[in-house]
Formats: sequence, C-alpha cells, structure tokens
Amino acid sequence: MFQNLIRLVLSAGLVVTLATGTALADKFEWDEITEDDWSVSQDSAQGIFDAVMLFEKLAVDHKDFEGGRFKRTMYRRIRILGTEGRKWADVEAPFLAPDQDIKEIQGRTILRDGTVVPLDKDKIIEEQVFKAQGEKYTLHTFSLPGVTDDCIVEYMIRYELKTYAGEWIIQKDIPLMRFEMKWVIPEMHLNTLGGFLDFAADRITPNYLWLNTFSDIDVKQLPDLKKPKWLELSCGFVPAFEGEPFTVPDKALKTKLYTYYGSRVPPETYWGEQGRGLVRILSEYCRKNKRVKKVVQRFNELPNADAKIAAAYNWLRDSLLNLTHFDLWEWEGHRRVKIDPKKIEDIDDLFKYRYGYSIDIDAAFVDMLREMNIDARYCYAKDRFDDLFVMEAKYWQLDRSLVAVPQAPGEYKFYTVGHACTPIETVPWFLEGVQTLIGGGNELMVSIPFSPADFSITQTTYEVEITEDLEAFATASSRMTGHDARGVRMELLDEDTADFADMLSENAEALYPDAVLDSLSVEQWDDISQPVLMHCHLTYPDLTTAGSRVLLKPFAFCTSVENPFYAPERKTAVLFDYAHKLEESAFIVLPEGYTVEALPNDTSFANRIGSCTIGFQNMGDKILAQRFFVLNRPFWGVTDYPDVQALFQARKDLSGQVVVLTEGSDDEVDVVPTPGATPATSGTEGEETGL
Amino acid sequence: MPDSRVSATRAIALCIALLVLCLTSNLTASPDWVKEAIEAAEGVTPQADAIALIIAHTAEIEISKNGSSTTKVRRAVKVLSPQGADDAYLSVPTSSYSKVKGLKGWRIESGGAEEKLDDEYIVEVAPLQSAGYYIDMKLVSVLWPDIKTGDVFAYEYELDEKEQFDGFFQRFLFQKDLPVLSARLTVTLPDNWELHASEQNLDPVTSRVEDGRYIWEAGYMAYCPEEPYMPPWRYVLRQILLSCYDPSTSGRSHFVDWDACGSWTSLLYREPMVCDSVLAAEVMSIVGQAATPSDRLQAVATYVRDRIRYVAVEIGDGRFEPRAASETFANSYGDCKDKATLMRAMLSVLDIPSSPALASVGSTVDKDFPSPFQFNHVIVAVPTSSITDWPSESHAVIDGWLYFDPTDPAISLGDLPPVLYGGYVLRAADSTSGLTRLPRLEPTDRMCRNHATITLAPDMTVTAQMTVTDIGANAASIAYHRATTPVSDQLEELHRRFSTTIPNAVISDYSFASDSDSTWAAFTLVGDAPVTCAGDMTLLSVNVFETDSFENLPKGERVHPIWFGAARTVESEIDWILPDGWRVAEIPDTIWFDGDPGSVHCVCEGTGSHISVVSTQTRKGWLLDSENYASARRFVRTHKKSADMTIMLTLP
Repeated sequence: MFQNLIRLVLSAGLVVTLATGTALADKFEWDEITEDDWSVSQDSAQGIFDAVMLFEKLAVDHKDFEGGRFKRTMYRRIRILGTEGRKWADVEAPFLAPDQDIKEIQGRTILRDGTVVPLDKDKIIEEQVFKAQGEKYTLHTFSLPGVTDDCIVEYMIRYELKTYAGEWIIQKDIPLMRFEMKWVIPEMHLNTLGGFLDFAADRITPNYLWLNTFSDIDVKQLPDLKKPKWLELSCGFVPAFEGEPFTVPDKALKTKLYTYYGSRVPPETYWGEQGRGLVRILSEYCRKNKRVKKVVQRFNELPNADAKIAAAYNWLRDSLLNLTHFDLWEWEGHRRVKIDPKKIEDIDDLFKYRYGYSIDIDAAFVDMLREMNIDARYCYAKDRFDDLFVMEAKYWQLDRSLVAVPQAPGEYKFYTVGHACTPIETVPWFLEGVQTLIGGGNELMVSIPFSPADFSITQTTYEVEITEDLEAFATASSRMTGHDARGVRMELLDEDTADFADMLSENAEALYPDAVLDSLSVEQWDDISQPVLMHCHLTYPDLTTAGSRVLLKPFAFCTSVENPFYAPERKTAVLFDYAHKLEESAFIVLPEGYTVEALPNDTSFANRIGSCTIGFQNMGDKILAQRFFVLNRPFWGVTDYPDVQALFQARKDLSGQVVVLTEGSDDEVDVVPTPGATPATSGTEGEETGL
Repeated sequence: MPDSRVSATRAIALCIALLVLCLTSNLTASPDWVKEAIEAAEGVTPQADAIALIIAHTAEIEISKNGSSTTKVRRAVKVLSPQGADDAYLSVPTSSYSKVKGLKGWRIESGGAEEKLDDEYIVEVAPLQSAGYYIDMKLVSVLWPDIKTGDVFAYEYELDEKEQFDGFFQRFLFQKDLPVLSARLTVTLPDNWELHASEQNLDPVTSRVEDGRYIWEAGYMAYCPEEPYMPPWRYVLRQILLSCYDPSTSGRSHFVDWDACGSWTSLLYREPMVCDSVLAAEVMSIVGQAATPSDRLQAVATYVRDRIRYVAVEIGDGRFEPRAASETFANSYGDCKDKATLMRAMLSVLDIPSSPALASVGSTVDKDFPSPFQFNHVIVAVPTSSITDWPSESHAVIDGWLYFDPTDPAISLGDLPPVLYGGYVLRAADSTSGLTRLPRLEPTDRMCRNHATITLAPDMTVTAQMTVTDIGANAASIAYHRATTPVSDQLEELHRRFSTTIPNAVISDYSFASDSDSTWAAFTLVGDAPVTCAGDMTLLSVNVFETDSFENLPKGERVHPIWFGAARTVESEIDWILPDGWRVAEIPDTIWFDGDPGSVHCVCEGTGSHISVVSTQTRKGWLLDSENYASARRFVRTHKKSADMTIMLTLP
C-alpha cells in the first residue's frame, strides 16, 4: 500500500550492529528524603493545594537497541498536603505501548516521624482489562498504604518495551517541582565506508525536543560531549495543567519531551529531505501509469487548466471508492458482504481495482494533472484537531495528504480529492491554518489559509406560531454551505437515507436545547456542489407573561447561544474550528388578540473578532426578528481574549432582547418598519449601539 | 474411466457437496426460537421514537443446593434506528464466580441473510477497574460491526455461577425503556425449597407455578422512554428480585426473614473485628484524655472517618466480607465495610458495643423481601444506652441507636449523609435484627437562604453584596467542599453560576464559614445589569439567584412517575436600589403555586427607587404518579415565571 511505501522510505530503515554501552544500574534504590521535601507546603501562587509531585525521574535504557528491548524506569515522589491529595496514592501504571511488560513495581509511604510503610507486592493488582482477537491489555494498579494528610509517597515502575515510545507528557494535574530523564543511548558500531557512515548518522542520531516548558531546562551529554553515552535532561517547576475551552488540543499544550533517533541535520534540512522523499515516493508509485494516461486522454480537449483540473477531480470522485471513508462490499446472492480490499501497491492497482485510500487518490490526482502538463505537487499536513505540527521535531508527524497547484511563486491552490465531501479547491477545516510540506516545492512549508466567513454560511428561517395558550411551534429551515454543509454530509456518510433523521437529531437537539424536536429531514446531502438543506419541527416551552403582557424573546426560537468565555483571564490562544456566518430570521405569528407594545431597537456589535447584529420589524400580525453573527477568523492570540469575550457576551446579551406584547390593544406601536428593510448595522467597533 | 464409474464418482461428489452445504448451513443458521421470535415481531410497530425492540428475552435459572446456579439466556433485539445499535450489543457481567459458556449469536438482516457470531466480535473488558477501585467484574461483550436498521441480533448462552455468598439471590430485568415483545423467567429450585420475590413494577407480568417451576411471563410491554423529571431508573425498572432458601435450615445464605439476614451479616463481620495489641494501643492513644463515652466515641469516629481513605477492593469474597480490622488499620485504607469494621473493633477496646448496619445508597430496599443483597453500603450503629451522655435530639438517633457513616468525609457524629435519609438500614445482630427506616427529610431540613443587596448604576452596571447560606442536611457536605477546594475553583463555580443572570460578572471579597448546622459564603459581585430595552421600555430581570434551567414538560401523556429531586427549600431576598430618578413602572403580579410537587411563592414590591423581591420555593421530594402530570407542568411553569420575573422601569 502506498502508505507503507512512504513509511518504509522515510523511516530509519537501517540495520546496524551494536555494542553494549554503559549499563544502567539494575538495582533500584530510593532517593534520600530531605528537609526540602518536607518543607514544601500549600502555595496558592504556585497552585499547590492538596498534593505536589516533588519529582518525576525517568531512566531510559536503550543498550539493547538491536534486540528491540527498551527499558524504562519511572520514579515519582509526591508530597501529600491534604485530605483530597491522598488519592495520588492510588496509582494506575501509565500505559506506554501495547507490547509493554511491567517488570517491577515498588512503592512506599514515608511519615513525618520517619516511619516507612512499604507496599506489599501482593497488594499490586494485575488485571486483564481488555481481551479481543488475540490482543490482551493488562492494567497494573495499587494503593500505597499508611497514607496520611501530611506524608510523602513514592513509587517506581520498571517497564520493558519492544517499541520505543518517544513522547513523554511531563505536565500533570498537580504541580511538578522537577523532572529528570537519564537516557542511555546505544553505542553503535557502523560500517567504516565514509558515505554510508554519514547516511546512517543522519538517521540514528539521538534527538530531543522540549515543548511548552515553564522553567529553565538543562541538558548534559555525558561522560563527554565528543562521545556521549548517556544524556541527562531536566527541567524545573511545571504548574498543574488546566484546560480551557476552544483552544488547541490538550496534548499540544502540555509540557512534554520528545526523544527519538533521527536526523542530525537542522529541521529545515530534514524537512527538505522529506519533501524530496515525497517526490521520490510519488515517482515510484506512479511509474506504471498507462491506465492514467488512457483516462486523461479524454480531458485533453478541454479548453483550459481549470476545466482539466475539475474533470480529473470529478472523475476520481465518481470512479474510485475511497476506502478511508467507505467499506468495500460485494453481493453474495441477495446478501451484501463486506470484503477485505486487495493491497494497493501502485497507481496501476488503484486504477485497476477502482478503490484506494485518501493518500492513493491524492497521488493519482497529482499524476493525472501532470499528464495534462499541469504542475501539481503532492503534499502532507497535520490534522490540527488531533495535535499541532512541530517543525523542530525531526520525525514524521504528518498524517493527511493533499495536492497543491502552484499559481505564483509561493502561492498555491489546495485540493483534497482524497477527503470525502470536499468541493474542489477546498480543504477540510482541520487542515486550514496548518503548515503543509510540499513535495518538490521551492518552499519548504506553506501555510494553508483559513477559509473566510463567507465560505461557511448557515441561513435559517423559522416560521413560528404562538397559540392562544401561549405555546409556540416552529418549523426551522436551514441552508448550509462550506464546512457547515460538510459537517452534515460527513455525519450521513455511508448511512441509509432512512436513518438520516436519527443521525442528525442529536445535533439538532443540541442547537435547540429548550425545544422538543418533532421531526427532521435533509435534502441535497449527496451533491457537494449544492448547499445542504435541513428542516426541523420544534415545540417550545410556554412564553413568559407579566400581568397582561407577554414578554417574547424572539431569539429563544433560534439556535441557543452561550458565552463559554466567562473566565476573566486566558492562558492559551483561542481556536475555533473555522470562520463562519450564521443568519437567522424568525417570522413569528402573534397569538390572536395580541399586538406589539414595544420592540427592541436594531442593535449591532462589532470588533476585530466578528460581529453580531439584531433587527426587528413589526408586520402587524407578525414580527420578523433577525440575528446575524459573523466570526471573522478561527484563530486568535491570548491578547485578543478580551475582544473574543466581548463579542460572545454581546451576542448572548443581544439574543436576550424582549418584545412586549399586549392583549387587545389597538394603539399604534413605536416602530413602523419598511417591509424588506434589513436591520441597522451601524456602530463603532467595540461598542454596543441602541441600548 | 468407464461412464458408470464417472457417474458414481460425480454422484458421490455431489452428495458430499450437498452434505457440506447442509452442515455449513446448519452451522450458520439461527435456531428455531430466533425464527419464531422474528416471525412474531412481524407487523409489530412500537412507538415511532423507539430505537430498538426486544423481541425475545428469556432466562431459565436452576439453583443448586450448594448455592451454584446455571442460567440459560436467550435474547433477541431488532434495531429500529441507528441510535439502537448500542442495544444490539450484548454485555454480560462475569467475575471469578460467574462465567459465560456456550455463547452463540446471529445477525439476521432485514432481507433474511444470516451471519453467525464470529469470535473476533467478542471482547472481554474490565470497564470499572481503576486506581482506588479494584473489582474483578468483567463484561463479556459482543460488538458487531456495521449494524443497520432492521437487523436482528440474537444470542444464547449459559451463565454458570459457582457457590458464593449471594448464590441464592437472583435478579431479572423485564424491561427498562425499550419496548419488549415477550419476556419470560423460569426458576427451578431444589426440592422443598421456597423463595421470596420482590416484584417491582411488574404490572403486565403474570406468574404461576408449573411442575415445581416458578414462571413469570410478559407479553408486549410498550416503550417507556426517558422523560424529564423522572425518578432514577431503579425506581421504575420492571424487575424481579429473588431470594431462594431451604426453610428447614438456618445455614449460610438461607434468608427466611430479616433476622436471618441480620444474623448472617453479624457472623460475617465478627471475626474481622478482632483487635490486636497494636490496634488497641493506637485506640488508647487516640482517645487520650477523653473522659466520657461520647467523647471517646467521637474520637474514634473522627479517626476512622479522616485517617482511613476510601479504597474499594471488591475482589472475590471481598465484595461482601470485610478485611480484618488490623489490616485496614495498617493499610490506612478500606471500603465502607472495612471502615465500619475497624471502627467497631476500636470501640470494642473501649467497651462500647456496636453493630454493623447495612444501608443503601442509590438503590431501593423492599422491606418485604428479606435479603442482605438489597443493600450496598455499611455503617455503624451504637446503642445510645452505652453513651448516656449523648444528646438524644439528633437525626441520626432512631429507636435507641445512634447511626454513623465513617465513609463520608463531610459528616460528623450525630448526622447522616443526606442520601441515606428516608431509606432502610438493617442493624445486624446474632438473634433479633432491626430493619429500620431512617427519617425522611422534610423540605425545611435542607434549606438554602440567599440574600442580595444590588445597587443598579445609571451606566447599567450592578454592584451586589451577596450571601448564600445552606442550613441543615446539605450544610456539612457544602462546608467540606469549601474547605477542601481551592478558593480559585470556588470563585470559578460562582462565576459560572451567576454569569447566566449577571453578564460579565466579577467576584471579589469572597469569604466563607461554617458552624454546627449551617455554612455560608459571602461575596461582592460586579457586572452588567440584567436589563433589556424594548422601545421606551426598560426591563429588569430581578431574580438573580434563580440560575437553574428548567426542562420543558411537554403536553401529552406521561409514562413515568414524576420526581423533582430531594426535598428542599430555597428562600431568596433581593433588594434592588435604583439610581436616582428611576422608578418602577409596573410591579408584576405575585407568582404563586402550591401543590403536590411543591410550592413557589414570589412577591415583588416597589417603593420609590427601591425594589424588594422575596421568593420561596419548596420541593416536597415526593414521587408523583403520572396522574399528577398537569400539576407538575404548572409547577415547572411557575418556577420559570419566578426565574424570569421582570420589572418595567421608567428612566428620568
């Protein structure tokens, strides 16, 4: 498969003979407990409350690199400072890899008076927690004995692994005073052929990378710089991790240390090599492309490059089954049976079998364009919903393929034919804003731009009826484009049409939490060139009255809005999925006998982050209430937080506007609208108008 | 080769092929009971929003004299919508005592195609195992891929349970929420044995005895979807609990009556409470100079509550049998029965008698069904006659016994955790045990008083001085939470609470304190005024403490009983001070409701530039049957009206 080919060429697939290096001490010994350990106390400034990890020490022994045995010893010491901190004495051995073997566990509790209470081995519980298809996972857990509100607990766990897990998350849910890692690297005896030595060294050099540290880090290569046999890496205080809403993935934010064997060249050179690697891979993959040539022949008469690109794009979409999103089925009599696909070794297989994975289909797109003399590059990027790409980490992190077509120096159009439900010249939202590695490009990495708010628009119209009993019913009809539409399509992918309502009802109920969803239907879900249309019928709770008046909140019939940014301060950048617009219009038929006594003014709020506008029209027996919301961009730095807060609070406040209805009045109302007029949008940036 | 031999060879080959085909078909073909169940389900149309239909569910239990049992189970489910896929999976709890045998399964697609259960779809997981909670329960689960609407999934298996403590206790669930086409339970006992049955919500289920077997059977049971403000599922499940026994013996696990249950429990807890010299010395050190029995009891209770952290080791016999007191003491951890046993052992050094008392948290107890396995918690009971200086007025003293729960870190001697009130406890003794109902809390036993003075400024900001006071049963837990939670987290909780009523709220001057039966927090809150404008009208939302959102109770029929939560009273007094020249244009009417769910009373008065809002809301905590639905709807509507109370103001 193409994926395997990439991994094979790009990985350090080199066999070396090894000699044993410096042995790590096999017998574990506890560190001395010092007065400094006891002197640590609660400190709100540092976030130390019930417990603090005094240290975490890792010893990583790769002497037996050739034998594929990696030893890792983890040693933690925790100061318990309060009742709730005692839970840190209940330990679950961290799960590092499916092939791990826990060789030894030791633990003990130390009291103020010097009493030591050891962990009995028979109190360590080893339980198989998962077994399926020959795979077994075992969990080791234990509770340290003799723990009080003022004590120290410590434990060590020694692992043996067949694979090397190079990422270590240092930051915990409690503060950590100090982290240390001792990394014994294998001493490698290599072939003395000069060029080969360099080639090897470019792939098996020990590398390390710190991320998101809070204090000074220290690295020592010992016993000397010229011929190190082990590395000692350490850092100081790391505060407890606190997540925040709408930000990058947690694992991208936490303090961590990557250690791996890889290249010794600078990151730019490394990634440049990877880019050239992509070119080689593509070339090899597309070597036997007679079938490709035959297909593109029919497009050669098309008038221009754009037409040819579109033709190739649509052909791949319509002709190849994308195994990343769909299963492969065949009919056995009247029964549909899922079958395992054949291996896709190259583009010839892809075109022969008419199925493949995203990376295969993107590669085919590049080849088709090139056969039509259109310059196209094969690219890779990292899905930002999962984690962020780190340039300095010189190993393969990228997980999504795409295609770039140069427009001008440094400018590209991007295509993701290998991702389902993406129209031409668009990428899924989780690839917007990320760096992409361009195979064979003059630029090493290019940023994929965010789509504008105009790309993803949801327009919803609500037809609301209010009964004499002041109960309300509405039909909501939504028209969605861009990422909004793709989101719906991805939910429905590979599902029976009869199940669509059920698949989407949960989403709809989240949008209208105060209403009861009676029915739901979807149209145009299968044509990515068209907006998705969705219709719901909703029942709402009774309206609020004040004496003879009804206090109608028109936007209570629309999508629910909250302000998730209530924290006064922010530590991390704000990241939404994508820029978008939401345009809502509610036509509310008044209950019989009621008229409008007072309408809110049209009001608008706008700042750099976006805008929110509300407007009202009195149409006699009906009111029109409109709300327009725009999020200009998905990414905002920490310093933009006050503006983000202000926008979302303004939206929430504006959405609470009240229309006052009164019973049986023939008085003229305050506001007489012009039919068809749009709401006012005036207002200085950062200010609310109309209140 | 001669023609005749060719023909014979072909014929044999054909026969072999046919035989193989038959065998293969038989190996994959579902059994007759599945076919019959599918046929019976033809044309059955449950309610439109039912996500799955249980078309057959049977269990045949055979109890052996030694406490082991074999249960043969058959179950078939039809998926009616994608959300019903989870109901197609099978999950059977197993442990060191119970094993699944002979598991077979079939998928029958709507078109008739069949697929036999493959081993690769069977997984075994231990979902509850984690640090601090050690349990040997696993789930044998079947996870089919690609479940489609209309598919039927059928299973049959045996559950073999070895002799164990609760071997004579069985439970069968007829229905939770999904519609059921047919369900049957058959129980076969050893000769001359009897059984107690707790039939819970078994309206349409009929029972009979046939050839010495007990049979419960039900036809169609309609869909009972989850509804807002329904009680926890344990109150509405259609289920049966069984306890089997030999009336001619008083041996282990034969529970003829509650005395037998108590005696069994007492025996189980006797040996572990033996106190060794190390523990005895610690007891004397703990009580120190405490002179009176009450003081000594207090010292021991506080020690066990605070010094022994909660760790559950529910492995093997450890599910029911406590660890030795000396072991719990050495470990400084244990679960509820370990802590109770340790406390009793320590009291025995001081010659203070005690009994273990089985209690129930989060589950109901049928007082007419004597079985210790209805309980899931253990506390300690001390006769007040042995602590003559103990004050008699206490919620925790009932019929001459003082009850204490050493597991709850928030609760002091003389109180009980709120979750226990209203439930049963079984005080275990060698001879006469006592099944006692703990007093039910009244709304005034769990009270919250809110007070705020809010100054509204002309720039539409507010400054509020607020106090929140909790009195009674909840106070201890809230006080404990405040004492053990960083202030920054407490401020965030307040922020989150009030951000719905006062936009951009900033909290300062925060303080909290407690006394014996109450706890309070005071703070200053500054934010934007909860004001909206409509034309010339300025509308002020005055009820800032009512931050709870209310689920809509739609019109129509109600399936389940209604429950609004535990009994409680909330009183709020809010004084608004308006800017000079601002006046109240119209005072809203008094909001009032009084009925079986509870009461709501909200009065607003306005004088000059001063507004006073006084509201009292009470939840009675009763379980209301569905005939009270209209009253329940009015109760929720009235709550909302109170929360949304709005005053019109005129500005100068």
